[in-house]
Amino acid sequence: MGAITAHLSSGLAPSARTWTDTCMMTDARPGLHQDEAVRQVRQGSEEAFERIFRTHYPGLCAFAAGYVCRMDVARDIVQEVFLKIWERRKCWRVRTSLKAYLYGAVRNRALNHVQSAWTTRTTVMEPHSTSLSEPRSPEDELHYKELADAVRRAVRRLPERRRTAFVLHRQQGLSYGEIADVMGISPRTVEGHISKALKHLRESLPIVLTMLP
Amino acid sequence: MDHLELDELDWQRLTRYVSGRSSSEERARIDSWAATDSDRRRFLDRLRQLWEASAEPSAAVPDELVDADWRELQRKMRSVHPVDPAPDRPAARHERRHERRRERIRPGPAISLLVILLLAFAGVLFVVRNESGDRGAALQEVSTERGERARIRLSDGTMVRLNVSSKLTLPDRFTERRREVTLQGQAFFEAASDPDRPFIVHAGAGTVTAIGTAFDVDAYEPDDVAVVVSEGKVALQSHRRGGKDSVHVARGRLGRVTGGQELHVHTVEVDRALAWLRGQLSFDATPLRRVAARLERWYDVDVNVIGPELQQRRLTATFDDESLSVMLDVIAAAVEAEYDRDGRTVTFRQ
Repeated sequence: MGAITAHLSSGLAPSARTWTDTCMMTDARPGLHQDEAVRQVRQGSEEAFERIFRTHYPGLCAFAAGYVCRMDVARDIVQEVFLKIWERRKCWRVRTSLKAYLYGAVRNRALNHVQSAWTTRTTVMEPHSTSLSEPRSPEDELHYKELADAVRRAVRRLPERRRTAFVLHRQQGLSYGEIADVMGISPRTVEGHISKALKHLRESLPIVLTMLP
Repeated sequence: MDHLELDELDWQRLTRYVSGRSSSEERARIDSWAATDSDRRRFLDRLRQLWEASAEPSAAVPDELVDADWRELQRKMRSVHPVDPAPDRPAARHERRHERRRERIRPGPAISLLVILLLAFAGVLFVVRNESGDRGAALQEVSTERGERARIRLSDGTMVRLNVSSKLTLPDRFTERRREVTLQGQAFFEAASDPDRPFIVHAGAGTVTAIGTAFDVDAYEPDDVAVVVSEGKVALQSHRRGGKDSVHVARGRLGRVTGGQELHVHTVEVDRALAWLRGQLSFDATPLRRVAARLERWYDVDVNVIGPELQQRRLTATFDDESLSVMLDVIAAAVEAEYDRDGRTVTFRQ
């Protein structure tokens, strides 16, 4: 219960209103840093929209799951974001990168969800383990998996802003500039969030870390 | 291990170091810092491992699911109508933002009621349009069932959170003079500021008039309406005295119409009064009879309390999002009663 309450309260960021402002993360000047795919979607191309969906959907779902702790709910949230874009495609303009736009929209939606999820019980989702970036010995592998799991759990307990910045950078590969756009803060502040997250993780994982060879 | 005494700036340097963002100069400095001490070296190694491990993706959506979800989305896409962009946009950025806000919430045929998210044990939210409403205007209704709550954004920017088993009725469009809604049950309003157009809530025996403020209206019992103000100030008027009787209710105060006409104001613990917004059930010397009514709405169950004496016993407690059985156990112990439960029916007795 404690973790869940903490999780919910971390969602009570001052962005309750941000969802409907999604359209405002756009720029009216056409031709300014516009993605070709976005232009095609604006003209009603379903194929372009599908390409965007397929490229970003898995990452966005994983990101949303960090807020709602349930993959089915996360998938709903991301689909709602895509549906909203499609509905408003004629006025869809992406001021920054498409990636920053999508992650920003999903974050807003997820925060709203967390805030309004009064009656849902969050259950902690156990992640699948996935392939590792480089081969390791079986023993190292075990340690590494333990560490990765412990890190994931610790990341979930980070305050929302720190967690968002950290996860967007480490798991979704967004640049500091893109994260700054997603969160509406400066890249310097993003750097601050990420280093504070690392410090926080380091301090909350001393045992696991010392277990490593 | 953590005798390293690192400050915030050090952590920024270390983060740059493990993420490969340091300048060569900074990198060399950290390398030489670590070279002199094995603890520092180990610390840096582990930090690097941690950084690397943190890139492990947390959960994967399998390809089949991406396919299935795309098809589902496609079906929905084909049933929505695109929203047209506004024709003109002012040049200045802040003005444009302003304009866009208006554009986005442009009423269209109906007040664009954006029901942001609805989470429920079960059930649906109804948005009913009633073309033949009074005052010549079409009316819209949003209602929640037991166990179900909704957040609603109105076209003027007002945010409404509708508690369980409640109904909000509003006109198709607000007029230029006033914004009027009717409430049954309970809702928390964050009225968008608009000094020229007061926001008015008709609720049972009371009418609440607000100008840009946040307040909760509890009108589950139409003759006993309570208003709790968390920001600003509202006027509370009792209906049944020819509209003459009215009191101001300021922040942190509770205004109440009782018996259909008597007005009272007193100080209240706002956090506790608004606990429902946080998904909590909070009781403050509440008679068991009323506790039962709230449990019925909250959990969609029927709760009977046998005996007048037991009905009057009072409960003071705040519950987080607990299951019904936990809640019942605690309540029974607190009021020294027994209860039995048969499906969705609960009976408290001595």
